Amino acid sequence: MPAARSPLVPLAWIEAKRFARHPLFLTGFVLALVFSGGEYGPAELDHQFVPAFFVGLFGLVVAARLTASTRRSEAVVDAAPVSETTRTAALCAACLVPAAAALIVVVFFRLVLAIFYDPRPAYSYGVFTTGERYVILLVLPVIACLGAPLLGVAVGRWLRFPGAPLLVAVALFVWGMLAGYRPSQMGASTWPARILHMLTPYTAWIEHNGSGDLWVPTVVRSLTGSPAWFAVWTLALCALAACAALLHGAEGRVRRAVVRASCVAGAVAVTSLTLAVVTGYSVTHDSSSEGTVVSDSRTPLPPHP
Amino acid sequence: MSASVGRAVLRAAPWPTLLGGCVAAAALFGIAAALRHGALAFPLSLLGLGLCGATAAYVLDEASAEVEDATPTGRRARVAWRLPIALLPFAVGAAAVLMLDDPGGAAGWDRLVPVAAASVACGLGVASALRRSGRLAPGDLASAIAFGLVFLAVAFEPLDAWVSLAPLESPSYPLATALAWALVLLSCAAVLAACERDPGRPANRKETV
Repeated sequence: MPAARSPLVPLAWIEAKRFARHPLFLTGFVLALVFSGGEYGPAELDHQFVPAFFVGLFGLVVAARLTASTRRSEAVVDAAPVSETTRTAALCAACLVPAAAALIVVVFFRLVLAIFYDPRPAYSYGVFTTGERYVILLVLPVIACLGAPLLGVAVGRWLRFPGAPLLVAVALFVWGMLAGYRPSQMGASTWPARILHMLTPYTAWIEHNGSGDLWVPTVVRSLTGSPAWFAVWTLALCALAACAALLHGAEGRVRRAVVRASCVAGAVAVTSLTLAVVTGYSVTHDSSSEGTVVSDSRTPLPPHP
Repeated sequence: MSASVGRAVLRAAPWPTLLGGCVAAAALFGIAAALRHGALAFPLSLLGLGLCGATAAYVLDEASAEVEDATPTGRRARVAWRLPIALLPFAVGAAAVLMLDDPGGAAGWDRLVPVAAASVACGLGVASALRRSGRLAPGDLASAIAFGLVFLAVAFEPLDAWVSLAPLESPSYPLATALAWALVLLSCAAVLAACERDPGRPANRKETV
């Protein structure tokens, strides 16, 4: 007698198709492509915001809505021979759809820049090495677009009040904005500022004196932290979000396994956060056509000439 | 519709969600006020205004509308009783931007009052359009759409070539901006009026002899 096939794969496929067809997700994806169809503002390293916002945050709301959509027929769904944990795992697997969409967006942006635009001056990338640039431009947006929908699944499972997905999306946005930009206003090289700058699922890596779509900035300020370890930290946050979603309705052996996985993800998160703060850039640097110097983040950038 | 029935319609509004949304928006405005001299105050205020619109999208939620439509309480009359509730998120948004306004400062925050009004109108308009499509309590979806529309329109200024939707630093309030927001308000009012007809009643009833 052949072994019973796991229902996870077909379920994940169904959920992935539901995700990909959701109008809100499609709207976000199209907007992300539109905003990536040329130079994004004056600083290329800021482009990570586009997929993180349009695909990631929109994806959070979509994932929460898809997760909550079966609530009305919960009694019927619960009678099906598939556990809630399997259904949640299928939803988590479907979150690969926004991650793939983010990959398409960042690759599209790279292609547009390579084909239609002249290379930016080297100083516009601050102190970041080529590898770090690729982490910021290609890896971090994809992880953000995986993590936010995973959080959406957890929100759909645990928070049952109306408006919860939007509220969590706004809270996430505000958290990223405050942690990304506030530390440089309070002295970026101090320990609390360095920790705050990394203690977030999304952070900024540069500030600059450019404005609008046309100006190439004359000064670019690189902020603190390690992009590579920050990527590991956000990946660990993704795992924690998935574990939080899977914990809802899990029983017995499965529950113990999820709790163990949460502990491992938590340990990885703490370690990578520590390494992101300790091994990354500890001070801010100002880069211009004349070179790179250590700067005081509280000093305003010179105005664009 | 009698006043007692109207009061019942008011009581049936999703008050915890409405009040929670207003509190969340007020919290965002509070953070913006704490950082009012920094660059983050403006985007935080826009998020707050977006949340006001998102909150207004819940005003029309009637999970039992199918039953209520079958009673002698017209849908328009019920909506008329519910609409004043939308003044609550508007009041939060308008009061917050007026409090953020510094008469001697460079930025005229009071110019965001029309954005607060349009945001609330947008929430109501989207919700009533979704109600027409058969969703009886469209608040969840309508709030996300309204929030996205308002935030994207003001933060990214897609119509920047023709009109600035949040001209905080121009010397006077541009006429084009006022016209743009008036157009949004009128469009939302038209959508609301068109979509909240009583179901089953034809638009033009022809009398036959």
